[in-house]
Amino acid sequence: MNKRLLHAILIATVIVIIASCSDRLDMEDATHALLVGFDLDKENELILYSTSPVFSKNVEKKTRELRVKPQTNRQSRGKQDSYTEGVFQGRSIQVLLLSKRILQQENWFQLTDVWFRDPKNPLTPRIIAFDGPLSEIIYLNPKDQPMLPILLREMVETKNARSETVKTTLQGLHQQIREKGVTPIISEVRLKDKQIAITGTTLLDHKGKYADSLNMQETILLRILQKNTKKSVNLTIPIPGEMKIGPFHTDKVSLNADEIKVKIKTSFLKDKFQFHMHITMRVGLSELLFPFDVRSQGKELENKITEQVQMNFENLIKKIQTDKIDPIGLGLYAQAHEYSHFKKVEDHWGETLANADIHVSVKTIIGAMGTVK
Amino acid sequence: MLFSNWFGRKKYRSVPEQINQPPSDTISASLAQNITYLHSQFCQTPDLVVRHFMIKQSGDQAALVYLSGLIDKNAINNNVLRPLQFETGSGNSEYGFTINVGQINPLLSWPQIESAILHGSSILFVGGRTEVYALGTQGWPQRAIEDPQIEASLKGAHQGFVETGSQNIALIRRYIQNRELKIIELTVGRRGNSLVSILYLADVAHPEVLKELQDRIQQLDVDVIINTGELAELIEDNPFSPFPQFITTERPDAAASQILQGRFAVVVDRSPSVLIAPVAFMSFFQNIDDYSTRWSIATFIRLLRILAFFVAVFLPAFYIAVISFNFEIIPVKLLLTIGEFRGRVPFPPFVEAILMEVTLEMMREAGVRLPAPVGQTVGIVGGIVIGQAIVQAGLISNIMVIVVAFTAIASFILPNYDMVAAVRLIRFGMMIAASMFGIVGIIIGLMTMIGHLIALESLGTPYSTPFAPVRFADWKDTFVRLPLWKMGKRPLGTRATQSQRQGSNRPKGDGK
Repeated sequence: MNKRLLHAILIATVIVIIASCSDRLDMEDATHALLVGFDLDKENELILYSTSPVFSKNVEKKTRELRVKPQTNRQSRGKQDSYTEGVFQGRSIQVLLLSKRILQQENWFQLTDVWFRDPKNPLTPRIIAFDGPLSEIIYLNPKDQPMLPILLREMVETKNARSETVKTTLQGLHQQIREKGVTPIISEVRLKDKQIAITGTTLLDHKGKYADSLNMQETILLRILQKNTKKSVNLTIPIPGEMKIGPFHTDKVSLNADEIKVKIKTSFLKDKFQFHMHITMRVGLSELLFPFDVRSQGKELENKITEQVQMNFENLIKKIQTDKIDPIGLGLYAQAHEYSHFKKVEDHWGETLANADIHVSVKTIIGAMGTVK
Repeated sequence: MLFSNWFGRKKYRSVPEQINQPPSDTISASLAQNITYLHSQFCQTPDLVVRHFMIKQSGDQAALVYLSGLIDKNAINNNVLRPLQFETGSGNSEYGFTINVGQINPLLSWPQIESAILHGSSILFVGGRTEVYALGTQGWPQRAIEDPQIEASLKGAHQGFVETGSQNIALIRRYIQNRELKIIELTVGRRGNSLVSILYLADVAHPEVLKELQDRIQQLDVDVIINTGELAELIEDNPFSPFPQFITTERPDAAASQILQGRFAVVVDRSPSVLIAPVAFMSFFQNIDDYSTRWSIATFIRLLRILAFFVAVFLPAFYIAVISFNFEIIPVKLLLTIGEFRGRVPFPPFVEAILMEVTLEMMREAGVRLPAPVGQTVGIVGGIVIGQAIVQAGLISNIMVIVVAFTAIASFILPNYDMVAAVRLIRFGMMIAASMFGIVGIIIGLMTMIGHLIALESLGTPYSTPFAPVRFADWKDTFVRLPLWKMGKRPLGTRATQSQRQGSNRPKGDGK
């Protein structure tokens, strides 16, 4: 090895050492906000909440909640930093909680700008709407449950797997807001007797403003129409004509639907968009609370179920049309099949869809009746 | 420059010849004169035995000279002294006496005599003759052939090389009974005269590579080669690389299989390991057992080893990078767990990792040299210190212990000790890079390593051969090990001149 190479190595080492370490931050020196919540107070001033884990042996409580009143989202970091032991970091945000008051504003989505602009921030926080002031849920800290961000995240994950709510990440929401043929849909959480519960989904309009809420069953139906069901889905429907005996709802039947096929036909007739949806599903009876001889009169039950399911779908569509939104994404079909007509109305697609004719026809086939007669 | 003394080429200064030369190299006809001269040459050599006697057949005075430790006493007593002293006969043999020794070399000069004595021959001086006879009565202390120690094998042979070069050659010859197996003998070292033999298949190995190897060995100017490792260091292409460029094996079956692939085996007398050259990076991941286990399992183990290589090199570095720079990629539940442990540790991750890795290396090194019963104690003490006390004391986090343990296990999987040593060294470099630049640092380290591997050569043949240059045909025996009947050709990386190894002849039993 000659002298020149040694010189080169020495110089390179010095340069490397000088250049290094500029943005180093050890994990334990950071305070990780796992949950961020937006809310407005009575004077319509922005309140920002955060929940972060505490990594200290001698501290009883495992999380720390902060509440600041910044003017912007980015500014909140500095304010929160002044309260925390470590450097306040938003790199591991799991959940973005939005209060109803925030969702009632038209342009709240602008607050999230910093998360898209600064690439160190994650784009995967789950977006969850909360019906009420956030202080109720943030400071709840139930002792028999994991910390709030983990609890909410896991709730969304598991319920999403059963199609009972949706998993909308920040990036997903961004895409849904930017896309003209679809309106956003996010998870919804409520407090019921001081218990945190997922109640279904919140529908937003084109600008991200609150439009309506769906319960779990409606969410399942919506996801069927979105062709976005995972595994099989559970539905419980009443069968008219059956008696309700005592305090129990003995007129109900529970279904387990899989192999759901949805066909959506799009056309444009008489200045109106026409959508024909054909839904075929194979259902298995998982619960039947009234006596019924499925073996011999299966056809009859099938028809009754079909009728009920179809009614549920129609109600859902009516609801959507009254709200002038399009969470199903029918705009995408319109864009694909009737582009010229869609192009004219894309900026007020919700209103257009409200006037569109949407027909649903459902076909259910009882594929299984369980292991009892 | 300060460093030039360290790395300077002047490793060996020429030393003036120390022996006073005899008036001439030739041997005198006078026995007494010869013995006197011999004594003057070998003064202070108590193990030199000079036995005077009379040859019964011819009546000549004679002397038998040898170094007592290097000869076989039985052979001297029964096969040399007995026939010469007691047997009468016509004496019409070639040399005028009868002797029961297989190898008799007439020698004419003093340097030859000296060298023969030092190599364990016994020398017969006969009065009145100007030639002496070197008798092949060598019998130095020897070890029995045992199971190889560092390259233990489950299914392979259980014979390992020993310290006698000729026996090692015999062990290889047992696998390749072919006259194309040629041996080139070279003598290296001014003082030690190490016998170095190059074994190769003349019709397969590439002559250019052979010439290169031969040249390098011939140009050596050293006192002595004690061990094969020294030879490897002296002749390897890039001595500053952390990667070994030759395999040293102690398994005859491994050596034979390498020779059959067109490589060269260098047997150094007195060293129980044999040098294999040229080799490629992937050769260090192959093991003789791979070819005797079923191919699917062998493939799985290959993949495991490659994974282990990356784990052993990068895992601690990755830990540092993730904890110090990019903790957002940790899944949140793991983040909470790690955070809980890390919160107690007073050191930054780099110090933590270095501390732990150095401890591990120390324990490993301690275990190597210690006798087995004490070695166990090291293991127990180490296990308790590392596994429990250090975590309970809050010096090191649990996760780091897992990382270190996993790294250690991963490095034990690699079948070649030299490559493991390289991995151990590179790991520290990667850790430093990671502590300075995070994941970018690891990538820089990886790129540097790949670049270096591509540039590296072993005996002038590319080191990273099936990948750079790309030789798809050789990939059959890299990440995967395809069935033997799919590998009908010798690897291109060895530059074998005859590539056909065997046909696709997998017998199907009843001839269907």
